[in-house]
Amino acid sequence: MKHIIVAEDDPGIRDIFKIILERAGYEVTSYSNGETLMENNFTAPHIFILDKQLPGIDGLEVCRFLKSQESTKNIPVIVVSASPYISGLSSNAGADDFIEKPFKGKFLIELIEKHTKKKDAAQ
Amino acid sequence: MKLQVGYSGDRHLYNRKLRFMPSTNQNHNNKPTIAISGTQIKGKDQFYADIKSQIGVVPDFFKLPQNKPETPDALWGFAVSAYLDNPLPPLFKERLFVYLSRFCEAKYSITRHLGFLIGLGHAAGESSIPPQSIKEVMTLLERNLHRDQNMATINKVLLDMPALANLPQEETELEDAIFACTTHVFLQTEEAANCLNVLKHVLDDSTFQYLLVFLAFVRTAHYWSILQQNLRVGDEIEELLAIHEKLAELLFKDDEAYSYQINNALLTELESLRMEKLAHEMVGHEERVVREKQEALISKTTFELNARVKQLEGANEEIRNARRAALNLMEDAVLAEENIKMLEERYRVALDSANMGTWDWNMDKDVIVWNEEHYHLLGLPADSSARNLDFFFQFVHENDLDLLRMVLQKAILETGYYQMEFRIERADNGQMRWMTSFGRVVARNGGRATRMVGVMFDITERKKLEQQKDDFIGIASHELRTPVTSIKAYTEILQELCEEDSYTQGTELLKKLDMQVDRLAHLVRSLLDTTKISEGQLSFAYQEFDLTKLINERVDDLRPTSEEHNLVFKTKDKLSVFADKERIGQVLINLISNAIKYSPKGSDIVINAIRTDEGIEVSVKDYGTGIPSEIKEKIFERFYRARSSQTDVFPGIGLGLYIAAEIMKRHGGRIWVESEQNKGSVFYFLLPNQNGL
Repeated sequence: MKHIIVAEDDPGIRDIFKIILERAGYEVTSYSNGETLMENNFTAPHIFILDKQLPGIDGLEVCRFLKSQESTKNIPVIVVSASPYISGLSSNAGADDFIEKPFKGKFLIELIEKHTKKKDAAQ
Repeated sequence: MKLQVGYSGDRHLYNRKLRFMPSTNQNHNNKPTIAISGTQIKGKDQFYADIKSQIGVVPDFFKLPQNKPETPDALWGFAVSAYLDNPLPPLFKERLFVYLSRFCEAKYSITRHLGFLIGLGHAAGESSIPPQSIKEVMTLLERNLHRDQNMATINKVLLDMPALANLPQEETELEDAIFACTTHVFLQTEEAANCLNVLKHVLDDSTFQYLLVFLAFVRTAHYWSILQQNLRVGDEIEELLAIHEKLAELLFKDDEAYSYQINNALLTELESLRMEKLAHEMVGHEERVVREKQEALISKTTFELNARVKQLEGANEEIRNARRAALNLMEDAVLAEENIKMLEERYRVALDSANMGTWDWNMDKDVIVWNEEHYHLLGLPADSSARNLDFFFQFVHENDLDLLRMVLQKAILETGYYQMEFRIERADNGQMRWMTSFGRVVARNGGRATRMVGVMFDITERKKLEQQKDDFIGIASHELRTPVTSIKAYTEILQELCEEDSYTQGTELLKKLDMQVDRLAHLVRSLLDTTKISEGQLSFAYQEFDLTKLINERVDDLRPTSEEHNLVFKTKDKLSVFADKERIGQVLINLISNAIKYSPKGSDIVINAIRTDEGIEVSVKDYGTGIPSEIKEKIFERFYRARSSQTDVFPGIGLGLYIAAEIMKRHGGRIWVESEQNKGSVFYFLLPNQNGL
């Protein structure tokens, strides 16, 4: 079972990610902010889903951090935001993809599959 | 016609000397005296005979009252001395008598003395005086009494004259003047005192005295005739007046007759009224016509003047507007100049100050030349030694370095243009600062870039502000979109669950709910975009991508939203563009969903993308109702909404095409529509050639 780490401050959206992703057969670990994620000694997941607007450290900063760390720099990162204007910013921060809220569950799953397959292929 | 009324009596038998006889026996000198004679010694017949011999008739005046014969006798004596024997010229006396009698309300005196004038009896007892014609008498009666200014003028003329040797002839201006003067004295008007002085001046003393005596008798005669109401003038005069209606009218309807009884104020008023009446009468028909013409002319002129005034006012307003516009232009020019100066200043300040660094990179030799400010930005002391790219890279934040390399590489190999925001760590204090850097390939050797120049400056403060702004917009959009995201996701999950349980009604309803959620999401997105556009802050992230692929993706996204429409996209060639993929996708979604919205079910929607000389042109064709030519431009305006009929309004808030147009504008491209009513519309957008981007 593939593992996904989600950083999302809104409990409603966190629930949604959990439901959608678990229904699609993923294992989900959720964090409500970036600090907790970065400080935790987490198991490297197959993919990160980061909300852009996180309290404290911004999702893009978390992305930069992850992309700068040897252990995580090759793990795909999908940035999620309610703001439509950060597609460019997220790619600048090294994110592999960007998804705008609200989104279709199907689309999210497709995106995740695309990036995990890509990574599998690379490996 | 001069009517002579002859008198066949024996008046020629009587002379002046005879007349003295009955008045007084004692007075034999030529000077007449006021006779208070004792007539009692004479018989009644003798008395009448005396009268008749003197004046040719025996007037009623002296006949009454019968029971007091001494009274007529006394009157006769007064008449003889003050009137008949008065040495003033007989015709002057008689005409004056008649003239003054006009002002007496009793008509006896005037009628009787008029008779004397025209030969029915002797004028002033003088039988030798030839009778006057009716016309002469009428002229006398028609003469109005001079008053006020007129009288003052006459008085002045008389005063300027030397004393008269003789009293004036009848029907002369001088007679008229003397009569007027005398009348004022007689009637005791306001002018009486002046007139008395004038008379005193023009007449010698004795004539003046005799005139006053004469007036005293006329007064007596008037009073007597008023008191004796049944005095008759005699058949002859009555017959005459019956024949001469006009004369009778003059006598009995004389305006002046009563005026002596009226006070002077009233006289004045009457005169002014008379003048007014006269003036009024003078304004005859012709004059009225003239006046009407004048009024018409005045009215026309007034109208024309008003029109002209309006015209002038309009012109004035135009001038004022033009002046205002000119002033505005001048102001704009001044402002523009100030702006230019300001920009120059800013540019200079920017270049001179530590904020703007310049760089010039010789790629062949890998030598970079910086200006002084570029050194300062990096926290280095300025020196003139040449640097290379790796030397610069050591200051760039490690997290940004790879990206910077990538972007630079792309500029060198593909676009020729470079822009990047990255962080540096200053050499002097290790502080992290945000920089922005622009560069352009300025020289090539064959196809290979050999030189780039550019600028770099500190945007740390701007970044902080941008962060705050992004935070704000983020909060707003977050607050709106986060719940929508949850709703949408739950709807989808519920839908799936319903499908799993084969609960079709639930599935249908949830599908509708999902569509409404999409609408809400789209609305929030549009509002955010519009806010961004109006702030001039709609951001773009350019990248190279295949437009054909993007169109295919979007068509696939939209296909499920309307299964009744047939979306056709046949382009297969790869169309590589450098644009904001997200935004172009947004334009496509807008145009295709509009086509779905405005065209009948079952119809085709044909999407096409071709490369032209100008760039890549995408078209979306529908077979809908078409767009009237008059609103072709308006549909791209903010909040413009198409109407399907008078009452129906298509859903939406009129932002889609506005945002699409703004997106194309920002790409240096354009968007437009060609349409034929009831046949359909074709929406186009053009992404200009890459060099134009």
